[in-house]
Amino acid sequence: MQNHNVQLNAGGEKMNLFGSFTYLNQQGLIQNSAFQKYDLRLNPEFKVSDKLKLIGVLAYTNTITTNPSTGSAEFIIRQAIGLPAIGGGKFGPGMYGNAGQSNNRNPIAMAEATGNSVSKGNTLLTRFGFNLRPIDGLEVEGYWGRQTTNPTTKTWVTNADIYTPNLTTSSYTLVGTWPGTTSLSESYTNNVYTTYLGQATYTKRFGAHTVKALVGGQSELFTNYFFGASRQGFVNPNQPYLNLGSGTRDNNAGASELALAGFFARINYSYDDKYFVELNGRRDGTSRFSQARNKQWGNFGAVSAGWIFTKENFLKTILPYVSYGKLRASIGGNGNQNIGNNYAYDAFYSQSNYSNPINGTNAYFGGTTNLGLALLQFANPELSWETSKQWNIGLDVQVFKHFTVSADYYVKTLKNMLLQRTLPQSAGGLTNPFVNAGNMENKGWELSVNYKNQFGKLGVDVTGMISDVKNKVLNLVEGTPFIGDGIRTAPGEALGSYFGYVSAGYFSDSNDVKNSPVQFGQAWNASPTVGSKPGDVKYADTNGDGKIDANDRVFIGNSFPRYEYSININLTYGNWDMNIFGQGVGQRNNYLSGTGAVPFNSADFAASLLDIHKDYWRPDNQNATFPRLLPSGSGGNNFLLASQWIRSAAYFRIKNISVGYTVPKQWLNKAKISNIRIYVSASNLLTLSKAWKGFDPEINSANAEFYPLMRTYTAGVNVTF
Amino acid sequence: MKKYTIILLSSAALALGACQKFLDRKPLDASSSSTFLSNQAEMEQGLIGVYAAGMWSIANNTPMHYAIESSTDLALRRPGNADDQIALGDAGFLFNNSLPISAWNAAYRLVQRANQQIVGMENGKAAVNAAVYNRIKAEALVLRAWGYYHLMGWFGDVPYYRAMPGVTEVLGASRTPVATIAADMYKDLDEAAAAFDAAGTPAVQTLGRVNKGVALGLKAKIAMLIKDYRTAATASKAIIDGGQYALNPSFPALFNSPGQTANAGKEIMFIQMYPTDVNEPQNWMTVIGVPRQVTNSQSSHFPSQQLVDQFEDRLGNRIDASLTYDPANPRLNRDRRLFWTLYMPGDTMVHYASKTAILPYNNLRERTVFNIYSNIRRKFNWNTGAWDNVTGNNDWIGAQAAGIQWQVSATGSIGGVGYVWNKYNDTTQYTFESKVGFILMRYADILLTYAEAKIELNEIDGTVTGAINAVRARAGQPATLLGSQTALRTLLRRERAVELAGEGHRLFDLRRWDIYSKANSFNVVGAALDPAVPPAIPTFDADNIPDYSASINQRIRFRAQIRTNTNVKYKLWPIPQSEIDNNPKLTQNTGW
Repeated sequence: MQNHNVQLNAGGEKMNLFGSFTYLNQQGLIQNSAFQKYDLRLNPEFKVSDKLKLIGVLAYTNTITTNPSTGSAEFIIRQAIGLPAIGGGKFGPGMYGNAGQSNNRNPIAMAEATGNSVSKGNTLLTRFGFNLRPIDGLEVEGYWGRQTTNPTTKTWVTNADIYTPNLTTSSYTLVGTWPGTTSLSESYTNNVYTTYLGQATYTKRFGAHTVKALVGGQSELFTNYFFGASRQGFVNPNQPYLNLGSGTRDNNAGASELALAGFFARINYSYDDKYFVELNGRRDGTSRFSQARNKQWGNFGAVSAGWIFTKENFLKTILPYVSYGKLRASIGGNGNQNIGNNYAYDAFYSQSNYSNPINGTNAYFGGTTNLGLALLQFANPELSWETSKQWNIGLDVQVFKHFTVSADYYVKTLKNMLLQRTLPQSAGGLTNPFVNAGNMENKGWELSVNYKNQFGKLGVDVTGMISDVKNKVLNLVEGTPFIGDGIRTAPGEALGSYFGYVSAGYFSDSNDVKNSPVQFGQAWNASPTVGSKPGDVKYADTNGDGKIDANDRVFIGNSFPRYEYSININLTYGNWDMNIFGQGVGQRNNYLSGTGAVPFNSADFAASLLDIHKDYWRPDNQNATFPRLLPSGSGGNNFLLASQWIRSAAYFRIKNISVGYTVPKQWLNKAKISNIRIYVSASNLLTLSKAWKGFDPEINSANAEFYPLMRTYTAGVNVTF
Repeated sequence: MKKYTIILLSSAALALGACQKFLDRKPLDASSSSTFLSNQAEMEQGLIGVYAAGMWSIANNTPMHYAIESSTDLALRRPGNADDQIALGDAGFLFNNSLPISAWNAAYRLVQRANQQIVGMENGKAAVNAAVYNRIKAEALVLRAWGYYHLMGWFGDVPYYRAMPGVTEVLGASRTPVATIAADMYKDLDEAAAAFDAAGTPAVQTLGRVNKGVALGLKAKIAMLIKDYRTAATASKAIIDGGQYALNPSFPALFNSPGQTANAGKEIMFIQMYPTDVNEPQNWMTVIGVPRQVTNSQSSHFPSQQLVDQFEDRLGNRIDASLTYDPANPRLNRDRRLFWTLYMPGDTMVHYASKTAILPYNNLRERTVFNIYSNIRRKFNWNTGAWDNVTGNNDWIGAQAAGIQWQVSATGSIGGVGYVWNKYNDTTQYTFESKVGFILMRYADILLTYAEAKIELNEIDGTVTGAINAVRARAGQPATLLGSQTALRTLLRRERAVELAGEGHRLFDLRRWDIYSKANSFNVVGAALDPAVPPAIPTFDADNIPDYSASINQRIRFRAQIRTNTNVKYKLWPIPQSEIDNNPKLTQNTGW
């Protein structure tokens, strides 16, 4: 990895210019995986007169992201880990082994020999604005801004040769190519974001009173356009150009828009810099909701107050050890319309290819494919703003000179929260609609403590933070819970809670099976392949009806993190400095399935067993972590969503440690350098958690398909001229 | 100075005044349901979208009906798959089996697409010629009825929609009785039939589309489902009397692309088409049926011994009553449809298993004598014109004992029970990219439906034997004479099995005949373990159900599988649990 940054600041009486240039180059964990970024920024400022300033922003960013084209890095790494010992890896240059996966797929070939997908991002931000102070106390600002991004992606898929050892001839036999079809697809996207903003602020101070008033408005328009084309059947793996493809051709395009408008006003009043009051109001409109049904606009407001009590003379004597103290309180509301989908309010006809038969709209008659249209998205014309109401009290104090403490408690209630409603498939299998689902509450608190002191040459600066928030759905409009894949949202529970069976250990022997409630309609059966056997998960009869079925599922946790904390330690000693940053989560549930739960798990064909899976049930190992060992795909009911597979994801991690040395000034004067700092740092040095080895507790991925956490060591130098 | 102030004020004013318009954004690349379907071209496009939802596949490329057939007594599926687990009954059919879920989803997708069309096209009713409008609507009505027919047959009472429901409606829907839905479908199909007549729609307008014949045929099938034999007889008789359809003189021509394109006699009335102008989707029926001694690939769907033994001898006798049936050579002297439907050991198979010739054995076509009894493959050498013995046979049933490992680890089944499918083995195109269509309704089925309805009504006359004998005659089987209701019922049921095997009718047939539990509970056995020791001929009960208990040790076993479907709950599939989770008003089928 390389990261370079150059900054420039040049000033004059009439003009001021800030410029910076950044270059970042990062190699991924596997071949064909890299990220490169150039960033150039110029902020010119012209002083036309004492009252008028013109301000410009010009920023250009260029990124190049490279990934393997036939699978994500996460997928390839997981496949490589799961590759059975008997699966062939690589026999020689360009000779990949039959790894026992679907259709000769081989993770090494996927990473290095089947092409890559290169995405180039070009972002140009231009903004032009002014700042005018026509009379004392009045400031008028406005700007026009436009950000254009033009990402292009080129995905090139080539074939790798797959071999198996031939034991008779002691050589290798070519068994086929993977993925079998070569292809190239290119896409071009044009995203334009245009915004206008105008606001005026009037500030007036008379005596101990300060009044500040602001009014303004802003409009935002996002437009998106893309087109893409692809072909199959390329002969030369080094010529990725569309004109050379001889197979199936395809192309497509799309466009969408989103418009937002808002008007806002704010009044601040303070007395003696001791008492503060703020009134806030805004009116927001969005094109995401139905204009015909008058659902586009929402009004929101807030009031807040503050009191710096340490300025009160009567308290100074009572609280002599408090050098600063402020009490804060606020109540207010906000709106949310951010649902991703720009046109959820109406049903639209769209076309979709055969490649997705679930939603395809094409049909073949009379020797040709006829392009059809259908409604693929379930519309909700009644959709409107989600509003939040939050009240908050907070306290900031500085005590005993070296301690700063900040504490907050808040309750945030979401009304008409925007959620995507899972509908029964009998609604036609359309994309689920967004609905104003009901109300939800978040209750939380935050506490941060800072200690800062200097002991001779030793400087100490330590900050600790801890926060918690508890989420609860208050009610749902339709009454019925929201059901996702293994998760469920219902009143009284956290949003998206796990809903499943309760495990009551394993069946210890055949009598245990016979004497327990019948599991899923299958009573004890002597046949070795029928029904529950010793070592299978025994589910609890939570509703007490003497049998285990879908009605025994209950809420068994949720993945919301609780008690998030962090600690940041800064130490300096002379020219040396040191930083340690750690963070953690006190309580959290992760649901494990796939590789995390099932030995030999694989979506297709052969896979291996992880070390953790060796602790499976045996008559002499009744308290095993995993149920009895069965061939892949025949786990019966053992891997249903159940409390068995909810694991603690609490952790503490040292995210970063760095040590730096600043070169003494006297050594630098001759070189006209004002500052040099040399540093080394290490990230992700230590993690304490109960997660399976190799699983990252920070990521809620049940099947272990994630980019492995990297321990990175960095050395660098900062030079200031 | 002033200049800048003026610029600000004017742009702010513009923003305020234009706000409503600024926020009025419609999709740029799609049409709103409030305005679309306003003319004929748009209605035709919407109709294509409805047809698209009628393409029912498992894992994209296996026709759903074909997969479902593997859950019945006529077929087997490689262990571990959803259809195999359904077949196992008590030993495998769990409430969360994926096949009923896929089937439910596919059928409702079709129903709601049709609802979108039927209701949506009212936007443009005034702008379109009435006959054309009614014809387009008629096609959507038939497709919707096709969806409900299957939903009722699979699940019984189901939520019933005649228009796209709203959020609240769909979350609170209860199950509508089959009788109510069927009565409505009768009316819809009658309306459709009349509309096709008025529009002059030809008997087979284009392969893959529906028409009057399909409307009437579907009405007959819905009537059979609810055992309304009168309506079934009338509707199927109307097709026969219409004279638009006849049997294709060649049975095999029904199951390859050139034969389907020619569609001699217009026997194919409704078919699931696969596009030849794009690579995907393909019909994988041939791929998954090719034995491994041909391609090394993973044959996974197999015919059963039960199916093999339904085929009569050439004199029209069931094998237990045959004078010509030879247990040592069971493939000889049999109804020709046996060979046209499946390959038995000793049959000469033809496959189009390679895209380019790999001589000497593959000249695009590859000829192999199906062998499961030794570690050799008998291949036709195109260079010499002779038959060669090639060592190494992945279908050899002795392989496991001989320690040749992959055959058991990969599929565990050693090539089914000694038989592989030949029906739909289209040798006119490369197997791995096959575009052969999957027939959803053909005239032979209509003839047999008519005969069955009349037999059940006990109105047995020459038209009944005429219909059965037309089907039999094409295969070269002797005509049957008028007989008792019981005798004809037995014959008719056997005829449906051998004529329509693998085409996805069996599940509904067994349920209609109330013999699903009996027919689908057995030890899975197959061909002789040792060709020198012919297994005893099975006995049959009145429903043609064979009993192999006398020969079980002489036959290939299919991984010791025992199917147990005696529980009455198997009369219907379970409603997908997620449907009930999302809508507590929906009740589960009894026993599930």
